[in-house]
Amino acid sequence: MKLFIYELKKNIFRVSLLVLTVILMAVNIYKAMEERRFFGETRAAAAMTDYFGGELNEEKFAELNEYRARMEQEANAIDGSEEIEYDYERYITGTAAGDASYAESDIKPKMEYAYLYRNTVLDYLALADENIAFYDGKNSYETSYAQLAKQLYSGRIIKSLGQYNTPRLYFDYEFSTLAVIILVIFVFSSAFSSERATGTDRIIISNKRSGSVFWAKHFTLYLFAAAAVILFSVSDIIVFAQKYGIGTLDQPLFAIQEYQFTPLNVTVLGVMLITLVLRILAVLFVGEVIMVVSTVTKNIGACIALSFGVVGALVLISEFIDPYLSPINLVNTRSMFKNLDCYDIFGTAVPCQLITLLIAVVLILALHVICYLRAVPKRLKEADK
Amino acid sequence: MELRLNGITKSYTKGKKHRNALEDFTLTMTEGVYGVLGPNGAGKSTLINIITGIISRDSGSIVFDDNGNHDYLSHLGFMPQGMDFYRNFTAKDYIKYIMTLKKYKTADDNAYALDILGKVNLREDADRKIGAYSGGMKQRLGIAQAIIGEPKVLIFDEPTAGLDAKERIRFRNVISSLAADKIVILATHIVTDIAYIAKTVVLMDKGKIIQYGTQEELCADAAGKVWECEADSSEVMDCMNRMRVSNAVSTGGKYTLRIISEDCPMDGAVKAEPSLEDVCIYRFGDM
Repeated sequence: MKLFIYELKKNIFRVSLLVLTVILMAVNIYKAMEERRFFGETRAAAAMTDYFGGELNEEKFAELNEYRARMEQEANAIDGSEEIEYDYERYITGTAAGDASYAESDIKPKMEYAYLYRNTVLDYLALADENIAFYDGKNSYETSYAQLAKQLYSGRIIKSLGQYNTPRLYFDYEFSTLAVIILVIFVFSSAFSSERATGTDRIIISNKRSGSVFWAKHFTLYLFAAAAVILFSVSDIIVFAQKYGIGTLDQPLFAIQEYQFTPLNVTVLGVMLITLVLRILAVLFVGEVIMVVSTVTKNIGACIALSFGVVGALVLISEFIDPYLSPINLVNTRSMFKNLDCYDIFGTAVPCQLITLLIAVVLILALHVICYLRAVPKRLKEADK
Repeated sequence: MELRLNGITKSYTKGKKHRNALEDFTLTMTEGVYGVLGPNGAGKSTLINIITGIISRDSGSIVFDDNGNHDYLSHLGFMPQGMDFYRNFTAKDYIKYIMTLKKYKTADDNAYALDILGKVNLREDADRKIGAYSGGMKQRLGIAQAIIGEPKVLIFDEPTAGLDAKERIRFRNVISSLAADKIVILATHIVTDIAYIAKTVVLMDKGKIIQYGTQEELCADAAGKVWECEADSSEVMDCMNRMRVSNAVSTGGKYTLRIISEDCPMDGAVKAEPSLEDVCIYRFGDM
């Protein structure tokens, strides 16, 4: 425990880290605001959704139609030569024409999607049944895929219209994880090289404490990765929620139209937590890579440069390979959970997301072992002057 | 108390090249300061790394005996070569960190850390960040961390590298004050570090002991081979190129040279009392 506290002191409690964190946080907030501006709904659309949100039924549709008709009437009654005055007390968007337009072009499709989702799923399940009948005995993977789809999509229903801007933006926004990765490189690329550069490794080895120091450093990495991802994620959510509110979190993920065929039967809040955990996992993967890099040389500058190079290469590689094969892609919820993609593993359909998770865990463990073997020698190979 | 190194051998193989870093190194040490002298690459650091358990030995044994206690590694203080520190730590933090590494517990760690720092005259600066320390202060902090837990065996590897003359003298004084009931091993290629404080000097080259004993014994061995003579400035460079010159002092247009030679090197040369530096030049040539 004491060693862990000293590792925190060595690596985390530094003015330079605080300054870098503040800078990255400022940049992240600016980027999140830009993300909100470019990819979020207008304030008017969000307000309309809030107004008509809630349980979906025939009355709700009737209410919407009646409101739209009334707004159209009011809008038509206005003399076109008059200057438009925004009245937010009377109209949700400030004008009758705005309300009518948003009701028709935004709220109605959203309501229809949610209301008719059950039918969409039923069509899909019928297709799955057809595929099971067709492929049974001929193609075990296709049969298995259709069975899995049936299992995952059965019984899906969207009961209400919700506000999903904040979670939707949060799922797509990647910069904050990149910022955390930069922090992790800054903090941990010298984790082991600094011991060698200062000669402390010799004191550690002569006292037979390499193992304890190794674990203390790794606990520091776990704690830092988790804390930094949570800190930056919370700041993202605050930026998005500032405009839209936190939104409807108790509805299933497929209530968001982009995720209509998601394999996850989890609430939006659940997916937000899963996203957080996956991002921590992705950062841990990068952290373990950096830990290994920090054992390569005692030159701290070289370790930092090498870490940026290796992480850059990993990001580049992840752009060119199957996205499910790279743990880096765990940071993007949309590419991970938009569709039910499967790998054919000996004729069985296995969700790609499970393979990504498995790859991430295996790589993290493998890197951990490599780091242990490099950083915890009983003896050094030769006198390193 | 006794530390016996018996037939320690260590070799490195890099590609097709095979090099003996230590060859059948045997030495028995008791309380006092042992100066290990030798040129770069003599095997000093390899020897120290083997004694401290940092690298393995190919063969040989290390036996420690202190009234039946044989575990010398838990009674070892060590200051590695080129030691540096965490800039954002205070000296007190650093000492407490090394106490944690050594699993050394006291009733009051803060008081103990201050006490240890006091022994190397750093008590006043205990709460300053190490980043603001001078080279000499860092070196003293290096000594301080080595003496945590009252170790029986203290090892210093090239401890005065980069220090100015004043700090070097201070370092020697601190070591002398600590050495009374300990085995202190001081590996260096700087002769003056050892000349004033070592009771026994071990001369090493190419992984072997080439001579060891008290300074008097070593100097006696070089008796009759050290000469002093005067030379013009025009002759100095020629002398230095042709002969082993251990010292050249300018005295009003002329130079007084100390030359190591089996025979009288030039007309007018007179025999002089050998110093440890002369012995080293005699044994190693230029270090």
